[in-house]
Amino acid sequence: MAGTRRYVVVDERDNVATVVEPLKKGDSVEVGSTKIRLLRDIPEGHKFALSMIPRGSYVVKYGEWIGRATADIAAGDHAHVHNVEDIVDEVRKL
Amino acid sequence: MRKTFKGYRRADGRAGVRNYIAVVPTVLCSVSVARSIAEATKINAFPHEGGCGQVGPEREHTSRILRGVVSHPNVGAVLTVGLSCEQVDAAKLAEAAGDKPTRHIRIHDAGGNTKAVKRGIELVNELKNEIKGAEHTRIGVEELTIATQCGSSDTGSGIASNPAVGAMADRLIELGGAIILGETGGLYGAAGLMARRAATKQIGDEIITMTDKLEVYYKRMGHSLREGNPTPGNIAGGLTTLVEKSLGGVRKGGTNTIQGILGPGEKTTSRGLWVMNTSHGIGSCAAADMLASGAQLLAYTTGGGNPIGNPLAPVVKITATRRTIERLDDIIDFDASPVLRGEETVKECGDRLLDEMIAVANGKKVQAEKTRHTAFAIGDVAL
Repeated sequence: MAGTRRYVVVDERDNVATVVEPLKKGDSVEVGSTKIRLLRDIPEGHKFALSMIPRGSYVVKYGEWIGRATADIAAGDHAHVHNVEDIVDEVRKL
Repeated sequence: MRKTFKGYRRADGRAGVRNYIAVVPTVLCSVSVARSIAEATKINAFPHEGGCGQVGPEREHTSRILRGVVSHPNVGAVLTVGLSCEQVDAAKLAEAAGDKPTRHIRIHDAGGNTKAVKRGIELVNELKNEIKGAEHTRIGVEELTIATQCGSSDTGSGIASNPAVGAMADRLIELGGAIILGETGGLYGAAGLMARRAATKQIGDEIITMTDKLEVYYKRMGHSLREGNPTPGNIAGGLTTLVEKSLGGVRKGGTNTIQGILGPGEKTTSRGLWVMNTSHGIGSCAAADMLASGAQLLAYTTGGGNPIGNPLAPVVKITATRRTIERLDDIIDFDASPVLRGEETVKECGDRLLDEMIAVANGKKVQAEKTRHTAFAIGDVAL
């Protein structure tokens, strides 16, 4: 890891990244060898999808499920309370 | 090379990182006198609201925490301050300190508040003389037990400073030390994950049960732990679910197997990672529970800059937020922001943090000690 970066992917299994400075719609971010164009403004501390997360599938951060997509979330889209639901009952039983 | 620090070997075999004199009121009625004595002599008081009118588990809880304070390895001498008619007796509490210099006074016996303060100051000065020559001993870091906590959390807490504390925790455990992860409410959304990491199925079940009990407690009052959790502030800051919030919080404990569940103030029985079912109330109550069990240091992550120190142990304040470090330089001890900028890996930051914790164990003063900022509270008994 070197240099200043604008987002953090906590675990390699994650399908979202957390931005550490506000990013703008249309900004291009490099994730590994691929380029992702942001579909919306992403405020500091918020998350964007690293790849398409289909409706009903899990949002992964820390290498763990943190919620379920309630709509398709395209790569570069903002993943937050408007398109992700809590799964607290589900994960507490595991 | 073996990592060590210069500490204090106590008669009960435990190792302390400080040689504090503790002024401990037995009851709310003697808190003011204890505070005055501590202020005049520039030492730490332990104000609390228990010690009388308590029954069953509440009474036992107060007693366990106070006994944990006076017998704590960071405490070299004790003055207990009572009234005389309360449940917790000043002389008996002083006895719980074990083989270290102690004194006790009672306001009724001393002839009132003013005389009790005057006498208390004399007694503290006697204690100061008695522990003046206390010798440092070289002690291995495997004897450290570090408690973990977070407050005024922000984005950087979950993705940088908590993981850095976790990496420090993993490294300390690798070297033979122990870590305590508390704050039962914070575990709620990560209970399943934590249960899978427990040493036995029984310990895993206990983790689920203790967080279930917390939810039942809220339900009895017609509420839920999930209500407004994540908080509006959390959501504005980018946290989406309670699960995400909890996962960010439990990163402080690192990745080791959970050895067992402790009650508030209960001692660990082996090295490694322990979870404590801490009592309700503000953060200082959970800190008191973990430290009273004998942990010598508290690693505290804070995004916004929580100022709270503790009279029982140095509190190392860790943040990954540059703004907080720049604005609040007499609050923050450790900068984890290089992780956010990609200039340092979490593991590198954890190694650097462990070195800082050892430096503090070795006598380096934390900001809260320099500014004499302490807070102490005994919470409601854990469920």
